[in-house]
Amino acid sequence: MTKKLTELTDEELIKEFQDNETLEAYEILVKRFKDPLTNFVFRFVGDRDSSTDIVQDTMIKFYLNKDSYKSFAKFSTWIYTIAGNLAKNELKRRKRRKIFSLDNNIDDDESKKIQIEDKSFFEPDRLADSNIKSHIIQNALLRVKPVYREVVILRDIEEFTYEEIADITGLSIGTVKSRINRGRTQLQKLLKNIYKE
Amino acid sequence: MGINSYHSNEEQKFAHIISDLKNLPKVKAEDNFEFNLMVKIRNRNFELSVPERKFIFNRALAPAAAVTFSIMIFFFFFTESNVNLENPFLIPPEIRANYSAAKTDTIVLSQPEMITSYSAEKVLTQADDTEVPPSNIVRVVVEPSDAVTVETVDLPFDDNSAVDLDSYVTGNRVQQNRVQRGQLVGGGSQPTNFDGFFIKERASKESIELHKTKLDSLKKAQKTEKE
Repeated sequence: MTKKLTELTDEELIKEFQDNETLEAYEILVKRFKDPLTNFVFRFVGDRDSSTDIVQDTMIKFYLNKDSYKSFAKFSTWIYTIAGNLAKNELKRRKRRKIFSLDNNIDDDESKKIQIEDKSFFEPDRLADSNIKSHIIQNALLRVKPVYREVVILRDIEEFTYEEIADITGLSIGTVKSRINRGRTQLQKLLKNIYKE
Repeated sequence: MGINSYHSNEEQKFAHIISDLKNLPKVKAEDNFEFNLMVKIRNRNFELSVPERKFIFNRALAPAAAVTFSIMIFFFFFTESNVNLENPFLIPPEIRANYSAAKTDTIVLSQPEMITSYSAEKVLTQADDTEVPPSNIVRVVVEPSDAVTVETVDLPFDDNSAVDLDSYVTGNRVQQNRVQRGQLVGGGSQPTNFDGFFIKERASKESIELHKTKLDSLKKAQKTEKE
């Protein structure tokens, strides 16, 4: 009895796409991963438009390089690796642009810094508002070093295991754990005013 | 992608951060995400919006590269004047001092200190007109008494006076039979012809028996003479 494509696992779907070039299998995988990837990339780069572009690029890369996926790896770790690399490229591009730009107004990190650390900026009742809190956490997350930020997002937001994070980033499990720990410590320092109470 | 069951003390320490991160609102893709993607794929528009870096130059190496480049420029432009680029064909050759000597003549120089700057032939003509053939090899020695010792050499090695080892070996005997002639080294400038290899023939049984019988008869004859 043949299964429906929607009932297949990620690995079975990509096998189907690799072997028979079934576009429907590809579309199902896109449907499954577009939201988690968008969430991951948005938390990493902090920009909605960029994250949409990066996820689009990820899916195009997946379409073009489907044969580079090997069946012994999990599909989710493979696609997250592609997305992570593209997101890192985007951050590097921004950094270069910031260095060579003569316009200092592009850099709005200082204003973000005020928003995060100056508790008096927000009224206590407004601080309790979940939207503002999530906005503050997101801004704090963007101030964490990218190498730590990536693993913290993968662990605490995307809820991957340490082994899966090690597969995605190409690091050892020990390095992953230490980076997550450092990232959380940085985040805690940035959000100390929120957690005081 | 399931929730990891691993909970260490570290995770408990950051429990509030972890819970806040988990409770962050999930950002979803745009509604037309798939449509846009499929349009790109069908139109074969695979140009990435985020261009990939093709040339990666580590910015940390920039100071080192700058220093290396400036050192190269310094050596190339500022140390060029110190280089003495003389044409080697215009430099007079130096006097060669050591040769083997057979004959020795002594001449006195009027200006012996100039010997180092003159060639050997010039020094000889400057002295008391001793006739030395220019083709001979000379040895010029500067002595403390400002005298120059000229040693003419007659070397035995020449095309016309080459040593023929055959003449030494054979004692100047002329062998008419070319087979018997064992020439080791040819003399003069004439090359020797290769005569080929010769296979030693084994003696036949008949001849051996003949020699044996001759020997036996000789031995018998000697015995009878003694008796």
